[in-house]
Amino acid sequence: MSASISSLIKHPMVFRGRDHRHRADGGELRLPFGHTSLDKACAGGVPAAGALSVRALPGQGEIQLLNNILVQKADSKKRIIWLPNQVHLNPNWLSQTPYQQQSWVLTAANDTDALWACEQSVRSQACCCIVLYLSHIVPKAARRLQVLAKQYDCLVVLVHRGEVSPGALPVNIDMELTYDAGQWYVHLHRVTGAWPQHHIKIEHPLPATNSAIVKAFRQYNQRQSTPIHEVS
Amino acid sequence: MHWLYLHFPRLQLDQFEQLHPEQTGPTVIIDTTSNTVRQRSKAAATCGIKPGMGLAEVTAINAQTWIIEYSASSESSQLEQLATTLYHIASDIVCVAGNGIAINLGPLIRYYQGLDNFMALCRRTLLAERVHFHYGFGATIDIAQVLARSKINRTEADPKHANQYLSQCSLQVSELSPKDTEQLNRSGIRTLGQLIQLPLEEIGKRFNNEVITYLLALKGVKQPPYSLFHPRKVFRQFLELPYAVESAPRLSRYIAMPLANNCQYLQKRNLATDTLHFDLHQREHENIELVVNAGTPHHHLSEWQLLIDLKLEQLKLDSPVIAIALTCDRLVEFAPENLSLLQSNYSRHAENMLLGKLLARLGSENVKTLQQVNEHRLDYAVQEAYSPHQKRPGGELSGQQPAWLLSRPQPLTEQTQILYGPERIHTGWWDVHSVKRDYFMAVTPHGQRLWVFRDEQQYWYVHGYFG
Repeated sequence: MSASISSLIKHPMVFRGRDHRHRADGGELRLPFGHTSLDKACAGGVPAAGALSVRALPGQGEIQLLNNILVQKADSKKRIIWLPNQVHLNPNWLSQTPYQQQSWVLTAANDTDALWACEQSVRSQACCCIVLYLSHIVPKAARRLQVLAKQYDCLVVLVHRGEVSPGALPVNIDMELTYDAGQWYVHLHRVTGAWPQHHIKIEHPLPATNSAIVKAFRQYNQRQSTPIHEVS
Repeated sequence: MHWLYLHFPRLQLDQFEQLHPEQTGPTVIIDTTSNTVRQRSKAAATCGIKPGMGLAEVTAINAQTWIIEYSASSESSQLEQLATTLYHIASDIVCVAGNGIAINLGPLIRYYQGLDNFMALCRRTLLAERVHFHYGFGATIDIAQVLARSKINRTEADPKHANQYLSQCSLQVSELSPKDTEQLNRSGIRTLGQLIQLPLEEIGKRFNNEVITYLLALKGVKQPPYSLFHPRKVFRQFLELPYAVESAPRLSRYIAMPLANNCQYLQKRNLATDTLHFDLHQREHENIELVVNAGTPHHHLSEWQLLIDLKLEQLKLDSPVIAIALTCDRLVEFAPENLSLLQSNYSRHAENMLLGKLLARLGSENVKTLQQVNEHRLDYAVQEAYSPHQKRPGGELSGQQPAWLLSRPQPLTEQTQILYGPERIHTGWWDVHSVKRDYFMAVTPHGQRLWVFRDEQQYWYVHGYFG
């Protein structure tokens, strides 16, 4: 029954009034990151369906960058799938997010199982977003996920180190997150609907800092911030 | 009383042909106790192989004959399965040892408004099960049984007409023991008609009471007591494999048969299940218990088959599997969700199907939802898993915590700069996992934002990452 309905609504000549994938003017729906310069470089944000590649190390603030997109995707009430690689999602952190009730966390033994789980989740049409951490990804697998995600109206976020793929991956957006001298930069290797750009400055604050205390100590002691191994 | 007896002369061979439709060569079922042919395929009959032949004779006639070992338990399970199927069209059913099912036609003739109507339905039901059968009618089960075994296959509305066929039947098709049959043959009695003509007093002098009781049943005077068949409350089927199977994925085609029966069983009762138990009987090791879970109770064959295939892909066998038993005892009433034609944004059914696949491939411990935990020591909290749909405890949040946690804290080996801290956690003094740590947020030159702590011995560790 579901299969037959699915084949019906996918027909190009059938218009669905409640289909949010496309805007009223016929353009592709894009979800903004919430950073003005980055959204401008991405022609409005991330396409709502397809794959997004983020080249970053764990802890470089990749989730913080994606948070606005995840919140927007969660509006559909479908599932959000987390597929971490060798690390565990903190239950206390997830409970603070608005999409906690929709999240499923999967643990895959290897990249093959992770890709399989991702593909099944996309095909099921029960998920709006899949956040997949991989040690590396080859262009062929990225292309496959891009096509599937676009077909099934799902956003697949691929977080990887990007060491194996020298060129841009065949996905909607292939971006890299870097940190240099206290400033965060985004490099866009590939964007659908716009030209690649580099060194896009973004703000990436921590959830809490001692900046007020450090500033006060600097003011009174005239000393630089203390290296970690000297903290007592 | 008016009884119909259905005799299934080659149940195991029928099952083999269903499992291996590509096998068209001569095939025989061998009884290993006597080493003789018990059942033979049509191709084997064409070659000249007959029931009762020895194994050596069979191989001498055709060296390419497929030989399968007879399994009484498998046939018994199959007979029970047939009785369960027939139970949908008939009420009073008796399972008879020796591959037979007797049906009391008294109430059925009235219900179906004629014997022919019921027989047409019965034939159609059995043809759908793809089994060979012969049938007979009689005033007692024993009369109908003899006629079925003699392959009379005639529909008789009046049980009295059965007697004329009965008198021509040989003693070999009766339930008399080989010893009694031999004794009667020596006396010149070769048909049941001759035996029935003899006075019971004379027979009583030479044979035991069992023969007398049987003769009374054949004469239609007295029906021996019988117990009616009632389907099980839960589904259970045993299947002996024609060959030992060494690779787990190859079990799929054999599991398909009991699985199809199970789904049919559930559908006809408007039931569903979320758990199937398989006992895989290994030849040289203990049985493997294979439990397949679905995200939600259902009775869809194709979806169960998919989940089982995923499980089998990961299963490692210690030795070849020789038999399979399927048990389905967690039954609930099937309550399907009403689906909207154009609603595509959310589907509980799609979600449950996905959950079933993930559970089958990754295992239940690797598919979970997370909930805030009442534990400051996140080393232990991270081990806690909750299955989707499971009710979970709540808790209070403590401090600034990262998105990612390492399964075990790792020594801090690179130069970092502290951005925030300390937050002291001193807890667990009441148990063996006492913790006294000062937690900090730190950043590496690459921009990785770490959750680090310093323990009582002044050693530094990385515990997580701020995503």
